[in-house]
Amino acid sequence: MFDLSRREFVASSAGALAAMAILPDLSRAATMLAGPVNVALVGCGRQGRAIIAELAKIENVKLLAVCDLDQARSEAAGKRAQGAQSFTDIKAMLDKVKDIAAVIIATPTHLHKEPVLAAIAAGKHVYCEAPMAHTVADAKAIATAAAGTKTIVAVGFEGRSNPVYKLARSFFRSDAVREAIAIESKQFQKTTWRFPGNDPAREAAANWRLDKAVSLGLPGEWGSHAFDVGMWYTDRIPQKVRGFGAIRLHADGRAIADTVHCDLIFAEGLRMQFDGSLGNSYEGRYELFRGANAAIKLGWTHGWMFKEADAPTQGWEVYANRQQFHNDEGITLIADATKLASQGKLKDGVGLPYSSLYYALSDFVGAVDAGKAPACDAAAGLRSTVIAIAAAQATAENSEIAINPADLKI
Amino acid sequence: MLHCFATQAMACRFEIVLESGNPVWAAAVAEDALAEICLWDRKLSRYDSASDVSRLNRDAWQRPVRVDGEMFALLALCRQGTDLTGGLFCPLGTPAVTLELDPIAGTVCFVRHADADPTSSPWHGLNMGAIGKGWALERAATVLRQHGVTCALLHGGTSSVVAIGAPQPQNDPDHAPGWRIRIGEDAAALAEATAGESLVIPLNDESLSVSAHHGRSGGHVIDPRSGELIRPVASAAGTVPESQVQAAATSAVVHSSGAWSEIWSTALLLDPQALPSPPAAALPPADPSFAAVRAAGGWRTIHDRRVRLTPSSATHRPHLEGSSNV
Repeated sequence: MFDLSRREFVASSAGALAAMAILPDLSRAATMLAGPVNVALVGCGRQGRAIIAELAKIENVKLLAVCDLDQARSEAAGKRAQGAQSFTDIKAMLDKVKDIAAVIIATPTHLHKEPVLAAIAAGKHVYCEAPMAHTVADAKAIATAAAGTKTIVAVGFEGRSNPVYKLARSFFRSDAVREAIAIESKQFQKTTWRFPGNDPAREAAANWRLDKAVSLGLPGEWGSHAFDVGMWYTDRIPQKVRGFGAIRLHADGRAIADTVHCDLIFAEGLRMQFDGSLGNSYEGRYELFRGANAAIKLGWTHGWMFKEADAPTQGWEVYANRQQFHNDEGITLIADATKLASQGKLKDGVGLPYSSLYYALSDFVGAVDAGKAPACDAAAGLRSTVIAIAAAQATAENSEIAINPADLKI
Repeated sequence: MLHCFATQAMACRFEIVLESGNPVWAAAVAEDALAEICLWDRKLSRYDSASDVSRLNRDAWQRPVRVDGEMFALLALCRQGTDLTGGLFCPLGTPAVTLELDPIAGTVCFVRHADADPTSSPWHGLNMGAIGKGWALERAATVLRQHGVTCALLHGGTSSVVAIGAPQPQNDPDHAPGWRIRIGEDAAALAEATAGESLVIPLNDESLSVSAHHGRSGGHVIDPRSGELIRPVASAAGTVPESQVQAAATSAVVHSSGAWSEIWSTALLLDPQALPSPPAAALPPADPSFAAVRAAGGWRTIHDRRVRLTPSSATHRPHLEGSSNV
């Protein structure tokens, strides 16, 4: 028998049920696949390592092969993946390991196109890390190939598969938030973004994010994920992008700004701001959606809603879990609230049980397993990537750039 | 030139001091190593619902849980440490629960012994506190070495230390080369410490772990074998009969592995006789090179395969000498 407090009992019987009635399919639980899914990984840097760790948590997924141009990294990843074969050439990997059903691409952004196209040509399902590419031409080439294949092509804009973000989006699109007033996103981390290398060639390759010729900088590598969330929530595409960038801390010869501000300008005066910096860590990473009835703050594994005093009461929020933020009190957004409340574990639901990357990969292999569309397909990935490319250009030039609608179409 | 870098992880400050003539390269190298520490912080935190440890504490009761190869290796080491220390080191916190590992499937589960009394052996969940720091520092040191670093010192919260190489000797015949770490109760006590009351340990490509009762009267460390509160020597002296004194006030262990130094320092804090005798009887990779405990009469060396240990009266070299305040 469950030991429910009165508060949790009421929440489970009335409030959270009401919430669930408008919020289907928001499971925060582990993915269960019907059959085994054999995958390969291309790109064994830091993101590749994180992917190996998350794939290990998904039941019925087997990582058969890993591939990286750097042989040492490929071999190290093979060991981490507990027996996966390691390669330095994707075509050799696809030729030799026939059982691969899906390929995950985690190479540097400017090196996505070739392995994605090779995997699609080999008839494999593909998960491409976001942003899709560093140029509109490359992004469109990937999206066009995806449109011409029957296999699944997913793009790693993680917000779309994140249970907290899905839950918050349903609130955002309901009367709970109402008219969007403004959108803000921040990402701050004190870091050089520089990787050491033992020789000049390796160092240059490792520091592609600091290379003006191929890097989208902070607007692309960080901001693009927030831009995608903003566009997904509003179902809108910005008409213009303004950018400003400066080197405020790391004057070490780099040409990429370490501190940026971008404005995405939508129709009817709606704006989304993005602030990013490599010079300070305070506040970390979040998105904030301000609406006429409430604000929603999202922090990747956590989400909160801050109601306006004049917003209509919906009943269930009276019993919800709350957290204090300076002068405001936020309602904690908990996916699977009904189930957790019925088990007397509502408070355990604060914070997701898995990382955002886990849910993105789970969504992809789940789509492969069930033959359904992924949370972020190539067409959606293209739109957010094009905006990120424009934001990177605007930031580099301290200018305003109008979005060309033709760039968004496949 | 020495450069210092830091990050906050595992509820303490981690620092890296490394020698390099290129500050840009040094920053990039240190950042890569600190990222490794932060990665392990995210995997091992009990306060992050998405961490591996939180996931195990939620699910590993009900079914075997898959973990990645690196996490599996750490858990296998924990299991080995528990076995070798007779349960004195026990991240599960109770002998009533066993960590079952399946290397073929890469899964982990918790098994409660059928005959265990749940009231005498309370279960608080997997806690990778100290060994997590040692493991993360060891991995960070590996990152530094891969980048060609030959001289560096890393520590987490001053109680877990890993040294890479040794600073240049300064024509002092009394001192063998090494990063010289002075161990004491706190900074104020260290400043006034006399010979025998503090310990200076030179580290050269080695790890040091220091465990202590943090000075609380009566102690706050629980023996995982019995669930009983342990009375450390220093805090118990003068208030309880000598026969009731069970544990050391502080233990210090030097080992080639950061994780193993944590395992042994935890075990020796609870039982100064925990080390197998002779220590070489233990599995060679687990054998520490130096171990000491501090009791009412000061430091007592209980195992030493080194020749470089020096007393605290040695000349102070502040730019090369760190302190471990536990």
